[in-house]
Amino acid sequence: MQQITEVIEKAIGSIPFEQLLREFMLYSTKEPWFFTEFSFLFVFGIFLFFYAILFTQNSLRKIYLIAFSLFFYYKSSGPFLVLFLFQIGVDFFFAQRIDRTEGTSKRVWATIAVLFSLSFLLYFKYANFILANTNWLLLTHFEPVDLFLPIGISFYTFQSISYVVDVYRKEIRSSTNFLDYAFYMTFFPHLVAGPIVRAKDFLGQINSPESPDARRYKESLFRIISGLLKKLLIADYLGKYVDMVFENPAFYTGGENILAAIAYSFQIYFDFSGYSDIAIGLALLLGYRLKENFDNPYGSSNVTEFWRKWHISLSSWLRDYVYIPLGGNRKGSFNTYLFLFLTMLIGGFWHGASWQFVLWGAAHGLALAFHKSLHKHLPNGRLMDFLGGIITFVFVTFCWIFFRARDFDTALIMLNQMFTLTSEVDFMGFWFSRNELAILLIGLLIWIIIPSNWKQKGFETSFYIPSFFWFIFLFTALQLIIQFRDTLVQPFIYFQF
Amino acid sequence: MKRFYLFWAALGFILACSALYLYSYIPNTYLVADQEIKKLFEIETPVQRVEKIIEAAKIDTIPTYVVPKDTAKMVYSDISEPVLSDSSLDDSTRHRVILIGDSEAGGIKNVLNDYCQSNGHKLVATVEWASATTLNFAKSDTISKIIKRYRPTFVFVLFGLNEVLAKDYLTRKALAKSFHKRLNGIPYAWIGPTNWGNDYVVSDAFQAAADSAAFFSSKHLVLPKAVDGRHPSLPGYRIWMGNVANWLQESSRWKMRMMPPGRYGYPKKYKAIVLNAADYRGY
Repeated sequence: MQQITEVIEKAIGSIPFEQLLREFMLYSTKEPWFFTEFSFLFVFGIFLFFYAILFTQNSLRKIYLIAFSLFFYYKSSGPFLVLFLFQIGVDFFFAQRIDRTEGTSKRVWATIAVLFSLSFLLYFKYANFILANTNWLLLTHFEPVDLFLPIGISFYTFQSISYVVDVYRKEIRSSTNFLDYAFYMTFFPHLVAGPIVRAKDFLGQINSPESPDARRYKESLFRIISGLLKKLLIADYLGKYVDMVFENPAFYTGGENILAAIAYSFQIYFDFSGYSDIAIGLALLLGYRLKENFDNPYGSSNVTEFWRKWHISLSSWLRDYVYIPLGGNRKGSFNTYLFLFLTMLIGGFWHGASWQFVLWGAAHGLALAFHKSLHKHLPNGRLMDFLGGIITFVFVTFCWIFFRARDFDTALIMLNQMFTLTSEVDFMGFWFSRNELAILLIGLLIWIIIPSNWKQKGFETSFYIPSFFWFIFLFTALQLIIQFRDTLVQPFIYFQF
Repeated sequence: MKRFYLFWAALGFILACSALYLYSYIPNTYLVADQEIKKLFEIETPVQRVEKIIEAAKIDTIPTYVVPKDTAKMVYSDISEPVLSDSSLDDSTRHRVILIGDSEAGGIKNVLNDYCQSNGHKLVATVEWASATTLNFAKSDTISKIIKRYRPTFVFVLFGLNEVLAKDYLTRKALAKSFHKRLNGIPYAWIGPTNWGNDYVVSDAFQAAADSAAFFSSKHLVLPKAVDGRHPSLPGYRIWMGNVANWLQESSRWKMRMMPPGRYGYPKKYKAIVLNAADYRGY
């Protein structure tokens, strides 16, 4: 016992607290703060302790949470915090103007507000894309601008647009309390990579967070732990193989390229749904409920269902603020297909300033239009659902190739390898040489076939485990992550969008 | 209000993370079922101690005139070729390979080139850093730059000959871990130094720093020596590479196809980078 105490005392004595604190307070572009950072989890624990003390003091609790959220954003994006605050202030002002006016001036204010929000996104995300394409089209020689994309800008821009438009449509009243609006915009669990939260779903919760009880505590920890494991164990492990093949697809057989595309399908799902799980879990622990962002999307039997279950907050945003305003299904069949296509084109472009994303969006738009035109003529039944599920998964995986590949050439090389150099020997070779990965991929394919309600039942059953054990689960999960994680943790894929 | 659960969750995060942080600062490492309980991070050697390590590394460097007696009678034909598993034959992955190491890497590079070319891999570059120790590889960013430049999909690492007499396990392990980070997650085969009987800690330190099954300990190999008495002879390098190839196909963490080449002397198309720690220490 004395020896243990001595070792611990020695260890504590060797911790350079001052240096750690100094480094922690600084912002570094190379080390932005993620939910997966252990320093975040530790600081979150301290934050939560004082949050519990302030929980019943409404104003203090809000100010405290906003301050922590701003610090979180500072650690992720540094000086862009100022820009973010400016945008929040101006949006708040615009929304009040829109609420108070009617007729043409209301429309003018709403247009200005939307354009204002979009202007930052257009500048930071699309300026170089526009310049490069202008140079190509008009043979001009504009130099690319050296820009750093503020983390989360795509997400919070869509949030502020939804707020302004909802006020314009009179679906909600503009917030009269700046603190409430700042709370909604800065709430750190959804700040940098979604889910995209609507003001009408969130503003009402701000002053009456859910009371913390045993069920919510367990549910939160379950989401946080499973999110961490999804991201750090599964997605990052798959990412190793995916990176290797996508870097030089010509070095690999057709079979290995096919398996890399499948591995990427799972990587992006476990990466982003893992992030969403952590975000939902953290919010729930603080008393706020964010909407689900994924619902077993690879179990979908058609592409329409897939988009109802994949990145739900984005697809529903696009439906409500792009597809329906364009005309939705109110202007005839042809226009419906056209609007679907345009909506997905915008959705693709939202992911990044590249023609690959546009193509990816266009392919999904065409598939949605095709399915809409055909689905009434298709027979129903389990067999059809199963076959549809396979076709949907293959199609989605095929599209991911363009989404992930470095450029078009790489994507085409991959496809060439797949279609011309695949034989059953490739898969046998893969099984023998990458046995663990092969088993993982088979396991994940089985996982998507398991019905959602079974998984939900398992999730509910876990709540019978006494509260104390959840601390042990958290500790064990963190040590497991250390034990098996890669040398370098990959940043969340959706941080770049 | 049941704020108890908020406090309980807060304590859970604080205690779990504190325990993991604290464990990283404890110098000992513990095992569970023969598996090392890994730490959250490795403590970097403080800057003020670097000079001390440099001094230690100088002392540990092997004198070149020592010739172990037990290898004197060995010939190449005595060593049987490695037995290959059938499964490894099916893997058709073609890698971009680089080799990083000390003078032993310089000796093995042509043999590796033969293996790579005959198995469809491409040896793109070799770094032969003569007289270098883990200190050079860990402290300098030379290796990181080379990796960035050549974008390998597989890295061969071979050094340690110049520090087999070192006895400072913890320092070597810390340095080896720093070097390991420079590999940036790229699959690798880390080959331990050979040809010397008195390897005190260096192979063990490398093994502890490397991922499981990614380190090939060469301590058990007794190879024919070159005339300098320090490095393996050409047949020695071929025997060595044959054993490494066998391990790579059968039991390494990242398996790759490495059948024995049908012939030796493939054209040398790789970029050979030659450094000398006496002139260029890298940090």
